[in-house]
Amino acid sequence: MSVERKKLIFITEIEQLSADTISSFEMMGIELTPDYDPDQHESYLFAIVNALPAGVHLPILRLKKMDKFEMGLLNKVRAYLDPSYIGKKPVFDLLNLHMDGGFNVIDYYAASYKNTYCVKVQDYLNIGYFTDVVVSAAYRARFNIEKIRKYMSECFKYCFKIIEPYEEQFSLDVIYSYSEEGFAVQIHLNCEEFNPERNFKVPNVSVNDFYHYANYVDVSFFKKRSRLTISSVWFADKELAKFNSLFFTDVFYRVFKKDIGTHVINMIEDLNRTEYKALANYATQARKMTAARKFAIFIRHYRKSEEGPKSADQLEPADIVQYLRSYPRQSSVKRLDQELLSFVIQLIRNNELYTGVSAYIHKASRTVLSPVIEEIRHQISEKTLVEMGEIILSRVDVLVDKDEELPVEDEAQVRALTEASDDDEDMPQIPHDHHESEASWETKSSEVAQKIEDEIIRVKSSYKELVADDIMKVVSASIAIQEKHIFRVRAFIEALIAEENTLSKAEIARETYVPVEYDKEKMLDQIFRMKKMLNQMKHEIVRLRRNPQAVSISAPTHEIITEEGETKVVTVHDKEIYEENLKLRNAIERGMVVLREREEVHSKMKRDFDKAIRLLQEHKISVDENRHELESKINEAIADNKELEAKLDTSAQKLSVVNESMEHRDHDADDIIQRKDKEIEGLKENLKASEALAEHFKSERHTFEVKLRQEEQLTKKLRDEKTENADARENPQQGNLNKINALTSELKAFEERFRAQSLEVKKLEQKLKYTNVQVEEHQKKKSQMANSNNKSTEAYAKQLESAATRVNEALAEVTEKKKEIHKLKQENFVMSTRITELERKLNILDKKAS
Amino acid sequence: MEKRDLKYQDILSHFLAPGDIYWRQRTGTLLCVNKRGEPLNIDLIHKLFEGEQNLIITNEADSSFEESFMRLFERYKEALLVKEKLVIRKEIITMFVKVANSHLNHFDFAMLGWRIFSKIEHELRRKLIKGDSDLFKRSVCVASSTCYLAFMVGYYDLDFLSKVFSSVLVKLTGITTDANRRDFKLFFEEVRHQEVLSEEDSEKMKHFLVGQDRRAAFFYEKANGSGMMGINAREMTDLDLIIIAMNKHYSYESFDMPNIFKQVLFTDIDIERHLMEIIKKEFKRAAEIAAIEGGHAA
Repeated sequence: MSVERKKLIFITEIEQLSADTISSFEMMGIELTPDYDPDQHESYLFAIVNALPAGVHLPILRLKKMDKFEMGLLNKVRAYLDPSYIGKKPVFDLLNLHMDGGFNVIDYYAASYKNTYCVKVQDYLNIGYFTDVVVSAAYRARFNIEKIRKYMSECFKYCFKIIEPYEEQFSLDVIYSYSEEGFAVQIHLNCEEFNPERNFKVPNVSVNDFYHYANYVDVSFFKKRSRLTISSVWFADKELAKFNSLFFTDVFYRVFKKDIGTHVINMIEDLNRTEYKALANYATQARKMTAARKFAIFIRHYRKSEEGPKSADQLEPADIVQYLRSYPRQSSVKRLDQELLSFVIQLIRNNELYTGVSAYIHKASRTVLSPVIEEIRHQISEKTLVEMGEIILSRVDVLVDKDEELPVEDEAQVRALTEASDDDEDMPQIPHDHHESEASWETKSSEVAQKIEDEIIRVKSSYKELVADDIMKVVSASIAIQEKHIFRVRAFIEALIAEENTLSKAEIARETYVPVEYDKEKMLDQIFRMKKMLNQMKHEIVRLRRNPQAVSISAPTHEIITEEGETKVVTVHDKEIYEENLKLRNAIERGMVVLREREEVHSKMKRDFDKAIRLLQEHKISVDENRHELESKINEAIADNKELEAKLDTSAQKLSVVNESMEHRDHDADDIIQRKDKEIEGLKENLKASEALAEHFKSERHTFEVKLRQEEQLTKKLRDEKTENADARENPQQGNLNKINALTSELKAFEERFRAQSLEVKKLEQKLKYTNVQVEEHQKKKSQMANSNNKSTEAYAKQLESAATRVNEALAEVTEKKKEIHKLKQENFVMSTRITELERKLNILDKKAS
Repeated sequence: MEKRDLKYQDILSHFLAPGDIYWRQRTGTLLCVNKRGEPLNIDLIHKLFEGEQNLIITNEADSSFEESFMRLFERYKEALLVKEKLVIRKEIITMFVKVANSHLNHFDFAMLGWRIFSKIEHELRRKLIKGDSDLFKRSVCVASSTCYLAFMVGYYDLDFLSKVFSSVLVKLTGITTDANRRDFKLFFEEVRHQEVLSEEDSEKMKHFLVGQDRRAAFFYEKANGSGMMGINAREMTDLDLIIIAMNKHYSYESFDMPNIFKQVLFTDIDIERHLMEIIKKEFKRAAEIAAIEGGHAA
């Protein structure tokens, strides 16, 4: 079980904060209070600067922009926060968790450990590499890497400067995680001491060099583990880029359970352990004080029976020891130490102290939850016996009630002391359980008191009579209290009920109960009565002076009374009247003083009311503004919605037009393709025919070539024959010559024909080539057309797709806007209910003020 | 079961028997000198080798695997740049995946850890083994598992890990004295399983730590802060969490356990969740790489 403490921030000038900031703190469960209550010391998280000296020991939270963190103030200034962004959701969530304590930024931003990564840096030379690792992760997660890089670089330098002097082989544990909202980095390092001056300003590097690169920085020191943790966060929202916060947290824990020294600043506690704030050493000191009183009783009694006792002022510790040798319980005497001895001597010497201590012990053992006793108990905790004595001495007048019978040593008490068994618990003494249960009781009692007060207010508001058992029931049902504590609770409730009953009587008389006004009226009545009496007396005096015979005074004795430098001669009777008059005047003066005081209180209350009303009005104005803003936003959202719907319609129309045109184009393209196909078919046929013709000409050419070769061979043969038979056949030469001529002419003719044919073939070949080229061109054109057709269809498809995506986007935007509208409506509803509530409160306050 | 003649240099780097060691007598009968995993009876073995006696070893661990594992770490040690180291680190983690899928005993794996990380001197080692060999074996397991897991979560400096190994081993083994050894084991075995340490247990623990280094109490801290020093998980570093988890994981009584990676992968050990996630992520990545490499090889 962990005890939830009320969290407070001490601020003297709350007006300087904006309503948003105040409400944000309130929503975090932090109360901003201008009054410092030392009893609730542990509940104060911070004091905001310009605090009164009362809260000067509290860690200071700065809300003003600072360019540099003043190192000289580090022992005091432990946090800085830019309040202008506190109302933004990511900032509020983060700060809320921070103020609650016991949270880890890494766990908070990791999506169930899926996006958690860790690296260990064990060498100064590798800083760059690991900085890159973190920065690249941030880049992938789409965060502003500029700031993260600078922060990591400077922070690593800083960490190494801290760790280098202590450890030869070390490790910086770097853990980082991220979500859509933020990127968190945590660096852990060993650090022997938390000395802000030294550790936060290591040579050449300080926290100033890097904290402003991050949106949130928390430097926590864990004393027991000698560990320093630097946590930092960057928000994804670019609007929050300028937000900056810094917290220095030192967490001290108990090393061993028996050692008491728990001091937790900033409410960061171990959630798994119950941490009641114990009143350190109170129980021990209380026991000592009781024992000292018992010794003092014994010695005083002993000295009474002693013949010629030593003077109390001359008593020395040795004498006390000597007296206590006769003390019946020697086990108690064994606990005697120097402090106890000197306190016993003081008790014997100083009767007033003795009376005060006796009264305190007496009351503390009988009275439960008496505010005086509680106050003294708080004051004397953690004090030495001498200091305790001084405190009690200063409060003797409060402790010793004249009407009450004071506990003094008597025979019975001394007899009880001497006859008692060897058990300290038999004697009346301050209730001191185990110190932890004392602390637990303290926590519980405050809790109980709070609950009771709440319940009384509730019951009063419903115009019911208070019944003790009802409250008891409520309280016991709501708080689990052990049986041994019940009697204390009951007594406290009874005390409260007694008060409340008188108040309820006053209510019956006046219907409404306003304590200040009631007193004032009462006092006025009294003064009025007194004035009346005074006037009557004056008249009486005047009458008597005028007619002295009317008074039957046998022996008028003259006396001289000096008053304000004047000498008057008056009779005894006059003197009595005068004295009575004086008394009355004094009473009136006192009454006037009281009245003035009451008036002051009243005026103060009025001022407070005015202030509260002003604040409420401001709040109302801000709420109205918010409402107007929200309404305008809703209108804007509706307009946006309409616009988007119109866009959607136009895009749908465009889409249909595009579809139609695409259909037309497709149809045309089919026609063209068919025509082109036909042309290509015709060309192909032409080509085939020309190819066949070319083949034919080729075959003809081939036959002619064959024939030509045969003729050439024949001609060659004939020439040979001619040369062989030239001599032998001179006469038939003419006939052969003719033959030769005929053959040569025939040859020429063949040759000419051959040339003509070859020319024809070449022409046909060229024609063939030309047709081939044409066919190829057609084919190319066809393919181009086909391609262009394909391309155009693809382009259309793309257009179609893009249009569809745009439509989808628009739809998504519309749904988002709708959600936003819904959310805004909800907010509006909440705000309006709040306004009505505030108006109701305002009315109540108005009533009260009037 | 394969038998081979044992050479003196084979066992010099060991302090616990790498297998069952037998002395073959002149008559041919085999006499067991050392059981596998027991502290090496080095004096007797040395004497037998001096007398030119025949020693044989059987039931050995897979030496080829051990050698490749050692070579990988040697390469890692020699690498200068972080990038190089990280490349080899991936190979090592792939090897860890293989270990997780193998039948390698946790003790053999711990022995490899000793060979990689230990810088403990011979004399101190002898002293520690002499104190309590079982406690020493447990401490070796805790120390080496700590170093392996620390390596997995990113501690890349082997010198640093060696320091951790030595510190854990010496503190855990030297925590007890002869007088209270039995009670100590019984008590810490009981405390090991407890989620919350009571006041009474803390007092008892103080009693055991009288005259010892009080920092040894740190090994028995609890994540909820109920330990003797009252340090909770938030205050601990990743290394602290691993040390405490490993000390909790290993029993004082039984050593019959699978290797640590098998347990991490197939049975959840009690360790902080974010560390477990990181380790599993590393394993997954290594397993993917191994699968791709396997595909290429095929």
